[in-house]
Amino acid sequence: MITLTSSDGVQFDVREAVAKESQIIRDMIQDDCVITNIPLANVNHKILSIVLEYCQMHVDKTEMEVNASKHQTTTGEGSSSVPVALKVSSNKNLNDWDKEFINVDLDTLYDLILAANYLNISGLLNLTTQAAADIIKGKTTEEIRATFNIKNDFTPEEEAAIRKENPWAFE
Amino acid sequence: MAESLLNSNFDIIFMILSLLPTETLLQVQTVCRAWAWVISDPDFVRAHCSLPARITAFFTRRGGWLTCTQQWFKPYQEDVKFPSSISDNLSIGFEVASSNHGILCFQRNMIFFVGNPATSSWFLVRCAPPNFSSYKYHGGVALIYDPAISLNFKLTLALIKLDNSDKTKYWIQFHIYSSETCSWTISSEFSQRLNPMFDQFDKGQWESVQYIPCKIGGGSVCWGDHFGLLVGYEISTDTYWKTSLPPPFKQRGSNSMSCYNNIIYFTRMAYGVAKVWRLEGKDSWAEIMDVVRSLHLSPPVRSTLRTNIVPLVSLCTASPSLEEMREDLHTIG
Repeated sequence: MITLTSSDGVQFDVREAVAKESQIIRDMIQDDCVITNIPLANVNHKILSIVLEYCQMHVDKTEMEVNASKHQTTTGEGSSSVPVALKVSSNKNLNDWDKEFINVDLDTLYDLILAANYLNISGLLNLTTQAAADIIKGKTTEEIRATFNIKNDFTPEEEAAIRKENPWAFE
Repeated sequence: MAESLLNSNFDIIFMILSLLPTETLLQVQTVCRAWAWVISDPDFVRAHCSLPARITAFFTRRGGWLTCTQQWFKPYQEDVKFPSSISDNLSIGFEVASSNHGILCFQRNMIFFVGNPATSSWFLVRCAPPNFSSYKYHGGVALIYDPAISLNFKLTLALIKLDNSDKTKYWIQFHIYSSETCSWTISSEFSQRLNPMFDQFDKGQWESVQYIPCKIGGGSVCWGDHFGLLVGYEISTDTYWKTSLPPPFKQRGSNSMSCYNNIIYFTRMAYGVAKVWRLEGKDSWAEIMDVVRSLHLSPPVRSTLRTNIVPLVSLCTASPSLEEMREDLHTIG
């Protein structure tokens, strides 16, 4: 077990495999194998618990698949179609689970992106940045600014100049 | 907090924006300075280009645009929206003259439409190239567009002259249109003596030659003269270079030449297989793969492919790798 401490001092005891979903924790553990308590200065307990939920789920699913394939090799030939079907359905379940998991408000999404980036959890980073990209798609410039609370720091002349740069792209 | 992340955290903005298709990027560069800065960063453009993109296959051939077995262009309803003004014109005989990094150039006589079918943005090249009528033969059109370098495009039009008194020689010159200046410039001339084994060359033979300039990299055009020579023209320096073609292509035959992702393909159809060669550096060739072996095309398509293969056009400027291209070739088969 490894203890992760959030920026606001809350401790989380997790299995090593779960913590190792994070590349930086993986590196730390490899560098020094006696490490048992890792303080995470940039992640508060609310976000850390969500991040760990994600890691836990993905580790469990992976282990389930490994077990399933082990089962396949021990039971021998003739049953190969079962584990394949199981794997497909578990991937599908995981995708559904991810979709449900990422259905959070914008502030939480931002925090998750930052945490995934800081902890270097590639799966979570892909999932969260894709969710943010999906929000951008299909929106006008004005809608994007309003949604993300982005201040337009262009002067009208500058904005017009950008459009003029590639007239054929905007025509 | 919400404001600071997408207004100032360049790493995060980079990651999120790189997931967006090109058409969206072109629109969102006016959101704020940080976004515009990221989108115009060459590193970003390169990263964006390297991501796999959804691609749709278009085959073109001499005299038409092919989405399936149709000879003439029909708007491809599923994926491409063409403004009616364009598709009306296209239906009366515009040809796909060239494509590069997801944008297409349609040509009819001396009228060119350049645009991105993914964004439905089209640009009409209005002015005609100078001195055009004084040339008897004109060769292919090459569209030069590399978003990693500039979002402006160049169009090159090759003009060929034959000397009536010396029929073993030809001249070539390029007229280059720049979307940045909206004007044409003229290159220096290049002349080449024909291979001695074709000592005389008449008009009919010229017309039978497949002459397809294509583009490599950001700013050069090249063409195979089908007499064993590949000639390239570098726009930035106004210079020509030449190298020999890979061995199987030195002979005349159903060769075609095209370019995708800065790779020159020479494809030679034989027994339903197209061999693809890649130019590495300026004088060495590597045989990279057989492409059409994996295509399961119906006989009419196969026969038109024999005439000319133009590689797939990606709907984004993001360029898929050869492997992905092959995948898609497979799936449309």
